[in-house]
Amino acid sequence: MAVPLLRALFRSDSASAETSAESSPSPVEALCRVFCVLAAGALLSILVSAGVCALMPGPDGRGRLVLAFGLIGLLLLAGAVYSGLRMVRQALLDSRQNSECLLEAKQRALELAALYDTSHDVSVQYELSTLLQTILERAKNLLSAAGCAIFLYDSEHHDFEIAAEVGVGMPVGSHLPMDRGPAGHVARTREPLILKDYGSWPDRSEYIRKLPIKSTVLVPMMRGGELVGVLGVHELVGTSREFNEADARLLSLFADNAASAVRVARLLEAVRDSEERFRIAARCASDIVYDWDLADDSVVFFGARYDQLRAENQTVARTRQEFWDTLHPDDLKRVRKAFHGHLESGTLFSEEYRISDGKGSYLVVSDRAMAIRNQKGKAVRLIGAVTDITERKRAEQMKTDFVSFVTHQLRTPLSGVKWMLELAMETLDNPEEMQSFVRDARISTDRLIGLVNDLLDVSRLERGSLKVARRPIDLAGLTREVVAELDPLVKDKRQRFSVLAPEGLPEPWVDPQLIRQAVLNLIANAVKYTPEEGEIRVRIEAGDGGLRWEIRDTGIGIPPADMRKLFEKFYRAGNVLAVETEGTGLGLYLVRLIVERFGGKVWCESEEGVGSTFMFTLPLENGEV
Amino acid sequence: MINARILVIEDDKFLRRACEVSLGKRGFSVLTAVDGEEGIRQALSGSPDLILLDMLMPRLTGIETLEVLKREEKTRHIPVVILSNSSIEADVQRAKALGAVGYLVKASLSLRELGDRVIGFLEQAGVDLGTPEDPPR
Repeated sequence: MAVPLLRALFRSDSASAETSAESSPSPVEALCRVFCVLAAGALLSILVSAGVCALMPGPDGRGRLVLAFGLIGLLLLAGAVYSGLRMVRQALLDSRQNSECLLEAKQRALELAALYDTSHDVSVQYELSTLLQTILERAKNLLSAAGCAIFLYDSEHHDFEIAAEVGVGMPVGSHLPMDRGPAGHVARTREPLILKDYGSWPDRSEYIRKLPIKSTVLVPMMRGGELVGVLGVHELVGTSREFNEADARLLSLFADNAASAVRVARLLEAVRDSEERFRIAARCASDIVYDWDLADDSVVFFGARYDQLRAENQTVARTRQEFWDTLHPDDLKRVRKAFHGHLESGTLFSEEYRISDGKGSYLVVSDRAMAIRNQKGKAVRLIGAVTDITERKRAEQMKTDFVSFVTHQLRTPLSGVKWMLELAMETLDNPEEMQSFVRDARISTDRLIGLVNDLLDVSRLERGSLKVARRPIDLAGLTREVVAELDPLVKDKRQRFSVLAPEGLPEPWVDPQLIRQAVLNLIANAVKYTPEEGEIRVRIEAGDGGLRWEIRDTGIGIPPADMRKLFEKFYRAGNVLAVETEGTGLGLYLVRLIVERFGGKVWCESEEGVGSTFMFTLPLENGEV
Repeated sequence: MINARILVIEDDKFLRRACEVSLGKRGFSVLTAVDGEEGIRQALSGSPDLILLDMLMPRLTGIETLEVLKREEKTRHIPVVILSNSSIEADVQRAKALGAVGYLVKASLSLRELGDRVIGFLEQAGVDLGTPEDPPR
């Protein structure tokens, strides 16, 4: 038709599809124009023939003209009527099509709105199980279906887990293999799968075989090229609804959104689990765990020990400089070097060092740490654990000291014996001298035996494995026996010794041998550390539900600085110098162990240069300590 | 008589006596001290040719005594032999570092061997011993 040509000439062309659709006239429009033209032509012809009839004189030519124009007019009229009818038909068709399109458009708009709402709903859910439920409901409603299922991909086992479902009763939590079933199919093809009759699909899997699913559509849940899972919507056996491409498309759009949300929720879950594990571990450890942000030099602490310190109002270093300040100056260089070495080259950071305890002394700690690095390999955080090993170090040192001390103490009398006997052998011709050597050897042997016994007693008492035989003992009588034994020594030093004890004293239930040892140690000490012609007095009396045993001497006394540690292992007071240093340093310690074993207490009062008084109590109750 | 004087600084009564008797019988003139302080006094006043020094003593330890001996001008040159019953490596090193000429463990030595070693150290130090006399057997 000339009409589109005229149109093209007079309208400016535009590239948009909209105007190109306009540039070709709709069928109805075209027909309308045709009708108009024909109708106009018909009218014209009829008018002309009527005009001829009315205006032209004479019947000769008039009849033919009238006929001609009349015929033309009728033909044109027929054409107009025909095109008119065509036009009406087309208009009706167009109208129906339009309303269909409109309906479809409305439908699509509704679906897109629903999709938007759904995706929005889904994207604000971070908690995985709630999220999955939301996805189920929304997907089901989106397609107005009976049931929905979510299969999540398990990267560890390379299979699918039925993560959630509604409507059919699938076994949630079971795993499906990748090689069979609808989910596996979709995973392999990465394309949607629409089945009209699930029951007759050859590739269906064991689990889902028995479920009453009729038609189903499954789509992959993709995120960044990664398969998060498969989303399926289904109708039940007994229904006739079938899913189509449009459904698959809609579901796919939703599924991708859902995939994003699921991925985020899963990551968050993993992070939460990890953090939970960390917190529990930190709480259980008696260490202090620290997390040091190296960029802004701030540190966070965890752990039971940290809570304890906070409860005690102790301050803990919070910046790097504060930390260096608490370190013992002798350890500072080494620790700094290790610290920087680790940050730069990743060498293991495991150091023991001393830190100030804020009260004037040092704690020994063990610190193991590891840096977290950014993509460039630069250390940005340092995570470490600090353990207080002060006690352990002290115990180790004590053990070492103990071993050296005992070795020395044992070797001394042994050397004495050895040398004395060697001398004796060389003076066989001088019996008196030889005798003195042999006597000294014997005394050394006794000393050695005493030492070994002390060590054994201490060891067994400490461990609590010493068998104790308790019976009522006459403490005064026992004391006098010990004094009698030491009489030669007392006489030798011309000391005055007295024991004061009233008659009828109660008898404590103790092990006589052990108490004897304690009494012996105390009396022997008094004799040893009291000079010649000094005085030693023992007094025993009842009181405070037990017995009190006291020994007072006029000896060299004990300096105040040593008083605290007097009853400790291996302690020997600083002023024990002029006197021969035989003895183990265990004497008083043993007295304490023994007395405490029976529920008593031992203590001392002393003045240097004046004398000392040692006292112990023994309760009378017949009970186990 | 050996023309040399030995100072024995030893806190244990019997070991001190044994050294004194044995070295005396060997012909040495022997001085004794019960602890570090007395030992230093004796070293300053008695001019010994050699000092036998115990390590584990009360108050002034062997190491501390050695430090003083090596600091004092009058005693600096006197050869010191550590006579100990502890064989802690750290102690040995420290003593040698301070200038002790020897480190002997009492429990591993007989008195005769001790005497022999003393003579050896004295010879090393260039002390003229005169005519040695063997102790009567």
